[in-house]
Amino acid sequence: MKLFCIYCFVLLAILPNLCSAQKHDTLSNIKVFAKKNSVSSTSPTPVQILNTVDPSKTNSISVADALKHFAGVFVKDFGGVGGLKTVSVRSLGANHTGILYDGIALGNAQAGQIDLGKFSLDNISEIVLHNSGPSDLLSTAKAFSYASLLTLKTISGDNNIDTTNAISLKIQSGSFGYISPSLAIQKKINNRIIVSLSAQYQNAVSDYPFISYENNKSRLRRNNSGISSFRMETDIGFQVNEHNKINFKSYLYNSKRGLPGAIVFFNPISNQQLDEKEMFVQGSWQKSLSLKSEILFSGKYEQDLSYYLDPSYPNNYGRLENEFHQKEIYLSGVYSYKFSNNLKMSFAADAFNNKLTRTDFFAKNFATPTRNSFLNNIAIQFKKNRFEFTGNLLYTIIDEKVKTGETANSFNRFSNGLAFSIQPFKTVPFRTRIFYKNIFRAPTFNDLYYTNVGNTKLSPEFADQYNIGFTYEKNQLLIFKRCWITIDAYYNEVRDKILAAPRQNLFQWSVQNIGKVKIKGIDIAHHTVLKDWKNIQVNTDITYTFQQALDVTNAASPLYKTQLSYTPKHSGSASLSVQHKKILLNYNILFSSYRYKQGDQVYQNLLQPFTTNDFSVSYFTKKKYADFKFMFEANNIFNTQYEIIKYYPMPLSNYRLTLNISFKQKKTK
Amino acid sequence: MNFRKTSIAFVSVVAILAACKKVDVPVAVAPVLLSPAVGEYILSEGSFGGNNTKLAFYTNNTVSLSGDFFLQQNPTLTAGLGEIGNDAIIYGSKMYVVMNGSGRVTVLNAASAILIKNISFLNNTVNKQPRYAVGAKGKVYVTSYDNTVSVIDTTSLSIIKSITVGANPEGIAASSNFLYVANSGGFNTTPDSTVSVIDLNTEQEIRKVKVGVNPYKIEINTAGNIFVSAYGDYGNIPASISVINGSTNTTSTSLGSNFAYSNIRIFGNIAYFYGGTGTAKVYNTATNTIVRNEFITDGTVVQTAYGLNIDEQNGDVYIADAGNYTTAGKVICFNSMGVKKFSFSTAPGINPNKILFKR
Repeated sequence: MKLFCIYCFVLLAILPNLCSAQKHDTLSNIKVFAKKNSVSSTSPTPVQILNTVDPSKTNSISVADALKHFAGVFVKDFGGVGGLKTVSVRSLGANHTGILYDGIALGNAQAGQIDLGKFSLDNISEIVLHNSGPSDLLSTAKAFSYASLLTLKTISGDNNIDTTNAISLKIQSGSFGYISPSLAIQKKINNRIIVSLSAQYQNAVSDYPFISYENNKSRLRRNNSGISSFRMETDIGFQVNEHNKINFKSYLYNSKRGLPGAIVFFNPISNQQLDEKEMFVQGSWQKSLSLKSEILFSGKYEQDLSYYLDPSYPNNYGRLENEFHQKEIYLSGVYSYKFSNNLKMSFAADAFNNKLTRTDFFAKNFATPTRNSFLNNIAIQFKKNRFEFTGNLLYTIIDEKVKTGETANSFNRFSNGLAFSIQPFKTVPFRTRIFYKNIFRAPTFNDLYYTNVGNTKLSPEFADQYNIGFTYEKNQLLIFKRCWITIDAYYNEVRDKILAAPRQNLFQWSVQNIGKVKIKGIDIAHHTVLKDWKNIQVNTDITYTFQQALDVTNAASPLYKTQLSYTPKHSGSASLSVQHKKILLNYNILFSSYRYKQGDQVYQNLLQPFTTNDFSVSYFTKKKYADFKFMFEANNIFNTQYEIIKYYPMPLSNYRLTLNISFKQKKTK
Repeated sequence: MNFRKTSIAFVSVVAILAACKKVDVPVAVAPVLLSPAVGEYILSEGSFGGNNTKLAFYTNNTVSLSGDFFLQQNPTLTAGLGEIGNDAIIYGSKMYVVMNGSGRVTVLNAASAILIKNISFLNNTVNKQPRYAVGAKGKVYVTSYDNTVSVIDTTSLSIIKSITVGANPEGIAASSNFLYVANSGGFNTTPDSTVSVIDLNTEQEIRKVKVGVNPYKIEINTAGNIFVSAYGDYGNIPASISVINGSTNTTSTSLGSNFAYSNIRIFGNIAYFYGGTGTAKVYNTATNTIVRNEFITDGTVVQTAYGLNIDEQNGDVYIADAGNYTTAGKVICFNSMGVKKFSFSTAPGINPNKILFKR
């Protein structure tokens, strides 16, 4: 209710001002090619960036879709707009990927992984994937606590004081009953305060056809996979001066979806439902205390609800409900100090309080855990000429309490990361980089306390990463305006991997620290921008990933030293975009070699290799009063039937149409 | 009773075996009546969400194995049997495969495994979830998680009646006059702990008898007593074995804490308890004495005994080993003294749970 009041307040504050914004100007140049690549090629740890209008290049509607175009990334996609989509980087598992949303970690202490299908690209301006930790020393301790870090920057959160008042309306519609209107408003209250709002409604029936598994001929339709969701974000940026900024964000997400489940042969019945409500408010204050020192304070309060219903569960009540409430309070402070032009250090301290309660009728002796986590991090960066060194030491304390039953062990751990990068020859834009990082992920509340399955004796799951890479970046080379390539080879080890395994029979599962995985891989990313030719701009992106991820859990098991389930040896993407004046064409290809699901690597567990081809055409035009953008997307144009998770068929050919109108006020000066 | 026994012995050798529950035939007599098995059908239930139930066939004489015998015999049915084949019985000339996830009972020719008919257990928006079957008096009775026992007419191969029992019934067994159904209540927060007794003539539940918590499997010994294994609550309450006196059908007694087994198979008067400590405990139900605490005597390792059956012609014991539940299982054949005779893989089948003999 409190949050709702804040929303109302913000809305009321904005509306009158908007009405007075009569005079509009055209949008600044559409920054299609604004890739900030230099970071990717100079960073001592691998960094991949997709920014500004780029997300729309990938024929994606969610962050998860866009991430499929990154090297080393596997998006576990259960299909459809509402299907769960989690991200595993370099085969370490989704629980090792952290996500920062406008600088502050998204939490899910219950499941430990975030559904990135929830994050529409509508309000995202930049997606960055760091294979180790953050590049910026002025980061929270939590940001250093993952094996890989994904940072999402929102458009509404980018409260640059140079922006002007703007309203943007967008409507998107597509195959299988997809419709999504959205609205973005940005209002400059005065020279210091900017307020913005982004709201989006999504509805998808998602009853897409797929080729029947039962006879490989007829077409069936996906059943119970619809979703409707609403998201609203408001941001307030307060800039005292260039060195003193305060940002405040509130976020609301509501969704209702069907859980279609895996295709069950001869049985099309599916009726399980999931409702989710998420709300958070977060703020940060960044201030330069002097030319040498800087502080960053952040805080967050989050409240989530998830309600699961199985309306045909064969118990006495004929239904099963799970209603979980999560609460998170988070505070962080960072101080950075520049000793010299070469040496910079930072210290960060974070504190989290997470609570999970279960309130449904069927809750019986639920543990109701509360977790307090404290993270302290020291980071150092040394840069001289063509050499760079970064390192960090993280100390984590986790302490838990429960209302009923056994409590998980408290624990504390040191983790660290080291990275070097060097450009050996002054005149050759070639760099080499090495990094090492060890980190762990704590057992989630589900791992510890899930009824009958959870195991409070669990210890953390560890991941070690070793990486050696080369980057080459050259401007004005032959026909290229810009050209860069990065190649990274890595070795990862996951120890004490937390897995659920049956005990005496298939009714009794328990979560245990039993897995061990050894991963060898190569990630290649290549990007070019061609020199303009007759007003035609062309750029290309190619990524390739090789992965050998071997299960070395048990030497006696038939699965010993076999490739991890759902891990292709080869995968990659290619995209080409061509712009001529107001028209932009994009063509994207995604490729994956064969994989197996869990179990024996035999034909019945095989997932066939696939290639998908997506195409889009956009048209931009500027009128006196507004800018218009039309986009037509054709996805999977060759009608390939493929699956990422066995028996979760992905959609065949499908289409989307987008219309975007932006009104922008002229600068008064 | 005598007349019954004799008639059963003569009516149909196959039918007796098939039902597997009607072992009223004295142990010593059995080898005379039965011809040696020509092979074994192995049902592997597959994995949850895997649509990978397999029926394998292993021939004793030529020592050949067909891991996907159903597909071999029904080459156009490429989708196979479907999701979670929970049970299979041979009754008369037919095999009934109970497909829990796919919501149907698949009826095959018992000699060839060629499909005869699929009987749907999908009821509008609900899968009744069929679990276990038993044949009696020319009909096949199938328990379903929706608290019913469906009666299948074995000539029309359709469901002709539904008998309401307790919550989430699992195992079912038939004596000459009664059906016994284990009401697990496994989907409730507090499991059930009763066995429904159904009069075979009226096909009505006449009584519920209290047994261990979360009952699972039911077997009947030569003396006509009913043995019920139960899972317990997977926590504080351990698995248990209860015995219902077959002459009164009113009360049960527990075998005690030394019998924490969730699964059971009886041959004559000899019970094999499994799904607990070790591979299987052998128990003489006539003398109420433990024959061997561990059935296996030659050190053969069984990782997960998931199914057990006895070749009634020679007393050999076949154990289906589900291993780690994710990779191909195997079947190991022992003589009655617990010495391994041979074994074979059920690949590509995983989680083998039922062994049937073809004669």
